[in-house]
Amino acid sequence: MSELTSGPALLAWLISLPLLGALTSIALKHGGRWPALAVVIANLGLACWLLASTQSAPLRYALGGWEAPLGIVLYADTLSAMMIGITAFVGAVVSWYSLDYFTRDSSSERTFWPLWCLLLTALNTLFLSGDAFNLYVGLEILSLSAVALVTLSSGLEAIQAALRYLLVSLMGSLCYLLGVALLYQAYATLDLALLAEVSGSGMLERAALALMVAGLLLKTALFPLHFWLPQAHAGAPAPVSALLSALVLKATFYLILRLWFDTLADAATQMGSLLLGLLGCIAILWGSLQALRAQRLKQLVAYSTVAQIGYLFALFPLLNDPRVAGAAFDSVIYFVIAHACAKGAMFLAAGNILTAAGHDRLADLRAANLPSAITLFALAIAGVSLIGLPPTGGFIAKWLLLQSALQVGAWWLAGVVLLGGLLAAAYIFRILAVCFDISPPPAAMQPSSQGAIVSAGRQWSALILALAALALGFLAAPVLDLFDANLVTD
Amino acid sequence: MNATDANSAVPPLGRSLLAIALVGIGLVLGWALWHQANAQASLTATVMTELPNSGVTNPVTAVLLNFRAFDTMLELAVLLLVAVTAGMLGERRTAPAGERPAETVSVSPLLLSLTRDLTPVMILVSAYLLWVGAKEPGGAFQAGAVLASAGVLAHFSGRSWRSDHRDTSIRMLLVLGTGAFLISALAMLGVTGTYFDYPVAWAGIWILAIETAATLSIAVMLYVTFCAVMPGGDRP
Repeated sequence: MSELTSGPALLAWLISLPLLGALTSIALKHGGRWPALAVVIANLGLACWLLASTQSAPLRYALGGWEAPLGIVLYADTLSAMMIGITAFVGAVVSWYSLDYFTRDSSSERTFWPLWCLLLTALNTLFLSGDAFNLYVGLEILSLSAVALVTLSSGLEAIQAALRYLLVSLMGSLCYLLGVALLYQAYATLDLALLAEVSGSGMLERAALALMVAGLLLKTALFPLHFWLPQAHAGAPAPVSALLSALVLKATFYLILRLWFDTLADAATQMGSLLLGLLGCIAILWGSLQALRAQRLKQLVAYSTVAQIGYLFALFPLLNDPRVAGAAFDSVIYFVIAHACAKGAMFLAAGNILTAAGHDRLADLRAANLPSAITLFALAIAGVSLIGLPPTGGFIAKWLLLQSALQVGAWWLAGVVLLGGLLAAAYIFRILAVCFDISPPPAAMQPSSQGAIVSAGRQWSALILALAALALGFLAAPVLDLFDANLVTD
Repeated sequence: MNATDANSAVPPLGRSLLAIALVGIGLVLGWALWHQANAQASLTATVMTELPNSGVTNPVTAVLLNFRAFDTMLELAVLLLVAVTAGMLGERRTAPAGERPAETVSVSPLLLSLTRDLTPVMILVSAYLLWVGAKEPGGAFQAGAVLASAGVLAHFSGRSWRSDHRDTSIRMLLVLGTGAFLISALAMLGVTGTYFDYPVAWAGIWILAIETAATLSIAVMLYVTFCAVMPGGDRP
């Protein structure tokens, strides 16, 4: 027993530590950033440990010693470990960026650190919890802290976007909760593993799955339900946009993946997968087209997120096909981590440009009022990964997707993915064109072009995330080995 | 205001379609439930079997504070999150209007004496609810709500309690509840070797201590949120 507790207690620490950071950060009047930073770094260490420990077998931990139907069980396999790992990495880099982003001791700065710690608590809870109701509580913390982080950006637009985000999130949570209530009413258990054993493919499971997935889709912003995303992600402060786009959407996507292919796998139908796949395809095209039409840089990056979420769902029909399920799962995880790095880098770089130029209207941006080459380099590499060109993580993800799509003869899917890549190239080059535009800025812009100087930390952190997206292109085999170590695919 | 009016006035067709869709969903859900109505199951029996090991005799408290204490800790974190955010937004709103002269509140002596008489009673009721939670319905959330309402009453009678979330003692009280949960969970990791696993003999005392901390914290969190939302609620 003693050799077991040392390992799985790690799962409880992964949730307690960020919460402890949040509490210390709130209790301290000044300097709440230091406990938060310490926690983020320790969390990175714990995440590496978790990745190493899940390689041999999944971890399981009953909180309070109460076993499943009565208590709450934490559970981690390689998929959760990968999600925890990417969250810890992107989170650490974004924290470094945030150190110089907010004015020291402003009310936004003092509130940012506790909220970010609570967001991290929620993310780790969602990746580790094996209990349907505990996941609901995690979703509530996730949504509320995400909404609160959006309001850190002063201005009416941001508040309106945050309010809309709040209402959408609440709606999503309630749908999810209704699904949980149906399942509990029928099976008297909230434990996902037990539910996976006892649930069948009856009407009730289908209804519960539909409700839960619909609620989570609202939060993940799949195509017709993405209406809240562009304003919220574009209106938030840059580090918050990076966290929301890179991590928060992935957490709810991860839950959909768990419910659809694990807990309620029997109730998930081929038709449902196909529907999600189709919506994903529309999202790819619609998001890219909107990004092409966007007037502002951050808006463009936010619409690109709508498109990239589409790829995750476009894979659903393939995930259901036993011939290519393995490769499709690899593709999903690669899309998730490559997009987390690339989109994080993109939003951080966009934040630097916004600070340096004083605005982010694409039509008025000129090379002269952009920050140094480091930021632009980050922007370019991240863009290449989003387009899916070699040698980046985005390329590996798309390659795996195309390979499996062609193997099962899903030509339509391959076509959409290629078209999506072309459109992505078009909108990324809209940004890159600005970097080479040496014509003088419009006269009206002249006075405000004396923008602030962007600190080195903010520039390098953006570059590090972009370089991580690049490194993922070279390290595909070892990263996928980490993921495939003991994955249970049904 | 205009925007909401316009929104609600736009499509009568859309609204009726929405209504039909919602009724459809409701019917499907009802049918799904009715389909499973014979398979009534619940965890009540399991809870009752384990109740003697939980340290309390009220099954609701046993579930909230022992079997699923982790959920309750995160729920307190939700409240904390709301209080901190509301405090931040309230601070931003009142910041430019700082030099506005504090309006003189005319309070009737009747209200003042009512407050003076009721406040001790409310504190007593709150303490009773906290204590009785171990055996009968009650507990930290109810006790905290009653305590916070005493604060609200004081606020309306013009004698606000301290509510500035920048105040160190207020900040400490805010984190007290979640902190008590977290610290005891981590302490149990050292004592019994399992997160949140209270030793059976001490469980009752631990739960009462955590609930007391949670009551104070919940009251402060609710009161801070209330003051942040009230107009001109940032008076010292």
